[in-house]
Amino acid sequence: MLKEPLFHFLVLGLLIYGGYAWLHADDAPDNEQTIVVGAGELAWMQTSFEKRWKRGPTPVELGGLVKEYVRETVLYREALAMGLDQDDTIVRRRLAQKLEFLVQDLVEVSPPTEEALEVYFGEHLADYREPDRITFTHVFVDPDRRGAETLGDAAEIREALEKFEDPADGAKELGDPFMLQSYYPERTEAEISKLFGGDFAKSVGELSEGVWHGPVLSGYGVHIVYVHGTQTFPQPSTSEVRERVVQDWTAAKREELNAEYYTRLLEKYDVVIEEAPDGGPAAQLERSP
Amino acid sequence: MLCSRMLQARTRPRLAFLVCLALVAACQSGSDKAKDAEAPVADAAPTKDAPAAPAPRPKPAPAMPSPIGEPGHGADTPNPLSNVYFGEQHLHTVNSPDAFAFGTRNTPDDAYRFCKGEAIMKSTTGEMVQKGTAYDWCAVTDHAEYLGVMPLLLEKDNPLQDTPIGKLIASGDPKKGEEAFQQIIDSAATMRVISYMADPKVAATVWEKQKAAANKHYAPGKFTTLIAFEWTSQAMSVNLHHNVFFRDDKGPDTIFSSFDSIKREDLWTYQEVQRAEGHENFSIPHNGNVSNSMMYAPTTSDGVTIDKQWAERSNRNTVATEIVQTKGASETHPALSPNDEFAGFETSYKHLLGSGGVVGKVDHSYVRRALTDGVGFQEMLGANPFKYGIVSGADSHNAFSDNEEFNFTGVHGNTDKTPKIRLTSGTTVAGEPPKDFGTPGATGVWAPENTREAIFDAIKKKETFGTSGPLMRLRFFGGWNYADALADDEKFVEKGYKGGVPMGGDLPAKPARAKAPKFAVWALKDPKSGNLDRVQIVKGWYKAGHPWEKVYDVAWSDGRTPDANGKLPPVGNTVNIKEATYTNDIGDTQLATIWTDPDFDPSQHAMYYVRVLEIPTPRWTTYDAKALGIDPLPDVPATIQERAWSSPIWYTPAPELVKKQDFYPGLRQALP
Repeated sequence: MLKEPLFHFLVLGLLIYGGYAWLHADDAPDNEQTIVVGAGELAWMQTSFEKRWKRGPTPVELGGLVKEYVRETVLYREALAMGLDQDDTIVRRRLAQKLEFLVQDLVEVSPPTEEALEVYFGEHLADYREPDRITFTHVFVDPDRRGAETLGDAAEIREALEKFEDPADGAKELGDPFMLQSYYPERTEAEISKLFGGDFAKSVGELSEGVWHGPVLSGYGVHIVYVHGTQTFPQPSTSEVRERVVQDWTAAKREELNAEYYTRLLEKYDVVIEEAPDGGPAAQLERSP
Repeated sequence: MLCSRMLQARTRPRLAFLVCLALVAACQSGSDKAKDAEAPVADAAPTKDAPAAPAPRPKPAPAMPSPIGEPGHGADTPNPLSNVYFGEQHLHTVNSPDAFAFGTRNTPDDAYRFCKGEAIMKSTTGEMVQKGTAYDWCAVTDHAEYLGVMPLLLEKDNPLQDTPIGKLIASGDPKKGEEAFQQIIDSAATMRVISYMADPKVAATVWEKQKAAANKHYAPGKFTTLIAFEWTSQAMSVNLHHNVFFRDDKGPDTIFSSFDSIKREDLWTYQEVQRAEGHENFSIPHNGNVSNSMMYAPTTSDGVTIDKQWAERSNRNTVATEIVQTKGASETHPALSPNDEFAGFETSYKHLLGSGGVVGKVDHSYVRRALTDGVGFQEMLGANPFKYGIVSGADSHNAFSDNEEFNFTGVHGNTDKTPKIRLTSGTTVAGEPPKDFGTPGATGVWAPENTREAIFDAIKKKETFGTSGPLMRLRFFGGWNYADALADDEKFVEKGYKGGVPMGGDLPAKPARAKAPKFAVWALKDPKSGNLDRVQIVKGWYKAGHPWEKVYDVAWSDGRTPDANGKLPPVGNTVNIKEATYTNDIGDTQLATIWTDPDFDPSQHAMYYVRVLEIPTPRWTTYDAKALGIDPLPDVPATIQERAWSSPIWYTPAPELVKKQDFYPGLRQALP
């Protein structure tokens, strides 16, 4: 957002507008043929330069800013006088965006009530929970080594694994060499997916703890898997993640109010969309926000 | 039963196995079907949701992971046997003037977030793009020439607004704006600097932002970024581009551009000065393939044959080289390696940049020849100027490190943003027609942990490998005494390190009794890509003053037998070109072997690197054709064998064994 040129344009637009209105009150009359660059304009130019460059403008730079301001004002007034603002796509779009921007600014003014936060939080519980972390051991059964016997072997290996008191010992004794580790502590599904692929990660997340499972398939081949435990994280309370909830609520609310505002505006108009000769996309448009 | 009958028939065992597995899965789950790449669980045991029998108490987790293979990837404690971390070391964003001109507006911030696996909106199309598998590290390397100036010019009150180009942009006239940007691009391409545009004060402001973006996304242990930039030396269309990387968080105050100098010796001086000031760094060149025989030439920038001091400076400052990126592969060329049947990989891109279609000379443009010449120099001078580790890159100019063939969405802004444009465009402002570009490659780094220091040090140590995109894992060790049984040993990695050196290292001194070096290789496929076809070891050496090379097949899939001439039959091809699909019922999941050089001569300097080939899979153009419902393009390959290349292991004979030549014709540049 902060890097969006349009955003800069809008901020500058607002500042010019605001600065202009403010200056208008105290400064010498600024009629159609007079352009005044007063202390207010100068201060504003300096501040806006400083904001960007972390230093004040040199006299030469300030001279440039003034020159540009005057030039822009002259051209702007001439353009208005010539009616160049009429039916210009860019002017249309920027005015529309400016209004949208102003509206968004208004929405931000009202902070959420505690009640509204609780309701929002309740509806989006899953977004605020840490993902589960699974600890597992696996034994690889290599289809390239075992060919047609792979499944049968896997079943035998699973039975043999069940005889070990400690699954780690079993994993050391049985299975085929494999480049990845046999034991992974506290991994999220996303981390398991990076190592073994998405479907294996999903499968492991669904296995019950304390028994050997298999065959579980991955992009590599066949695995016998033992889940030691799953670390789940308690649902945080609103107070623990309050800042995030406020941010998310505000973003959601803004979107909602924008849509509402537009709907209200739209109601004031009759929209006529003429059928394109070929009955093209216009026919599918509906009168909805 | 059906399965046993199928298995008795003379079907390939793996195919039969997969089919049976699919049947078993289907029987047990009713609806699930085994897929080739990733199959669902076929599990008769109870799951969490349906506990059929009371589950015993789970056994407590072991206290320490056993050091097999890859202990504790992403774990909190450093792994002395190293983990592989995949990442990107070459990427452009809106802050590169050419990327800006291609229409790219995505920022370094977007670039890092994309590498981390987040979905990002592509500025040229508005679509969301996301990696299938996230990266562990990333470095944005925008061009030093006019770094960040283009987006800056669009800002109001920018310090360049009163300059001629600034005025053209500020005029608001799109035609004048275009003219201004073209002036900047031309200036960068011809390296005739527009002095006010390269104002050091402006450059410093932008560079600080670039460093801040890298630091913002650095999360030790989780995701690493490196502060970096590209020095874009390109006189007479000769690509000598190098990326420069820093180890520290502060980074240098100033960067070095081709406006400062087009000679790499001057870049080294900059690097040495920065190093002395505490900014440890190295550089990595790329695209030898379009350097017109200059990137790895046996001469200095002034055309003089390399001497020992030059070789040592090169070695100190330039630690690795890119072997593949979107503008083609630089491993070798069929003209240089006529006996290598896999030499023609991604060599469609061949025109020198900005030359209007001139095809460059191949002689000193490719990595294999450079590595081989390097050992010749070692013999001649006692120093090796081309002792490079191997990495891959993207060089995308849209901020996205897009290494996945099945997930490729273009690399050059508006010039290749949709499948239709990619398949139908001719030459664009970004160079050759989009169809001739390959997907970005990926780099694997073996490091004890995922921190800036560890990743930097591992690249400097050359314990790296490059791939053409897939995330294969590759171990490679060289020594004198590895047992043949090591290939199956669960302590492969531990014993590999103990008995020799990993990729990027020098073989220890030859024990008197040893006859030939032994190499231990272990490759594992990317679980989201094709199976492995074969592992090869490429050897390069000098004899009678000339470079020699040989490619050995050392491990292969499906129990194939080489023919009478020792040639291994092809692995086959399962690609359905029309549908852009393939199956993994040929090839192997992993390949491992211990290989002894059968042609070893203890008096010859030599280097050895590994090349791993996947089974054929669809090229990105084939996926695009499928998406458009058209036939694949006739003039680019419909299928490719993706691959990985390791950094070399070098053999340097003891001085008393060397038979020095009087002169080395292979290294002699034609003198004026």
